[in-house]
Amino acid sequence: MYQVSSFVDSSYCTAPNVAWVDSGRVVVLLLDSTAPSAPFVLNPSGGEIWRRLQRNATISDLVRELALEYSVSEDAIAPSVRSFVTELQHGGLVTEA
Amino acid sequence: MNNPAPITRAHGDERLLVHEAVALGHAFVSSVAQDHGIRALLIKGPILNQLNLREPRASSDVDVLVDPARRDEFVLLLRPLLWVERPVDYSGKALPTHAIHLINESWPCDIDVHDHYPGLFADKQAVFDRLWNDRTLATVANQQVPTLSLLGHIVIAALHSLRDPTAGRSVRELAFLNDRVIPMLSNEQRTELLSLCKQFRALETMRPFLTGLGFAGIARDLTAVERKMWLIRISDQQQSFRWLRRFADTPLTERPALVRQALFPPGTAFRAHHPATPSGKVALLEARISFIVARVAALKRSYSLYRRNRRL
Repeated sequence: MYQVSSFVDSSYCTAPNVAWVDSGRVVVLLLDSTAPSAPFVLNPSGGEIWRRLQRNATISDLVRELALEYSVSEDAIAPSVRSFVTELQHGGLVTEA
Repeated sequence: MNNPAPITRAHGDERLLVHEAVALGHAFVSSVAQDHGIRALLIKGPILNQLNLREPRASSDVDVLVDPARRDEFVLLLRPLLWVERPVDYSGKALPTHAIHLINESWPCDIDVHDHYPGLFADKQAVFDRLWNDRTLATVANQQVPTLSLLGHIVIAALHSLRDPTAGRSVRELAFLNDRVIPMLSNEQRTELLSLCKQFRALETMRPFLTGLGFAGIARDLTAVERKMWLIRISDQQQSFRWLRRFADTPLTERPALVRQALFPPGTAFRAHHPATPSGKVALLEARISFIVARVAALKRSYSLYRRNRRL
């Protein structure tokens, strides 16, 4: 079982200044009226995580659900999931709920 | 499961699709306006689909109606964000155009910034203030954006079709309003719609629609000049009319340059206005020849209209 003891197992939500669309792929735009901002296109796995974040899933929820869905071990995907969410957070796209 | 990282900016193989750009563009435009305290209403586009005011279809532009007093300021604010004005139509613009078209090379849609809407002849500030006071919110790209009231949207949607009444899409969309939307309106809403048109001085321009609503004897509310301008606008000769008027206003010595500019615009300008032109010099030449033939024919058709109305 993947352990989340090394970081706070927070849930995340979309930052208020983020627009996004999901028509099979997720495209996200940070709304910034001070500098040019190009949309981000999430790959299919990133899109899956994004959709689950909308339901206030915690990191451990995400890992557990994705591992189950893709039939992989939680240990195998946990670092990628955590890294991706961290990247979203650093980009200002999600915040801790 | 694939590695979800890295997330990528929309470019290269990951270009934005038009419908994605239009939805995100709504949120973007609204956000810029809100951050600067500028009143802006998103109109038409996906919001018409949401309100079931037309058969669902993808839009290709973001249309925003901005407080007329701050429209130019708003356009300037977008410039450092890489939204710049599409080159002005090289045929000239004697009649006022109703929107500034902004483009961004990374986005596959325009942002059309309006400060009024064709067919509404009342003072544009008064029109905007009323529309703003009646505003509602729509959710586009998971953001709430200010938009028109249902009745405001019906007026704009009807005028959008009525200003180009012979185009197939206009005919279909006007029929949709008549057949699917009007029956849903209560008597109070119908009366309010009439009142709105009266306030906007849009009784004559909206007459075909208002008649369908059951109102007979619609009053005339335009001056003779306004009426002619509207009739020219709804004809298919608006662009040629504009050019002929500009030609007449141009000194003799400058007319050859004006003709050259109209018939032989620079390749980049030509392609900007005819984006479907295939790449390559031969394709460009063929497109230019078709364009010249069509434009000369249009000028011939418009000349009598121009002679009758040149003092407008």
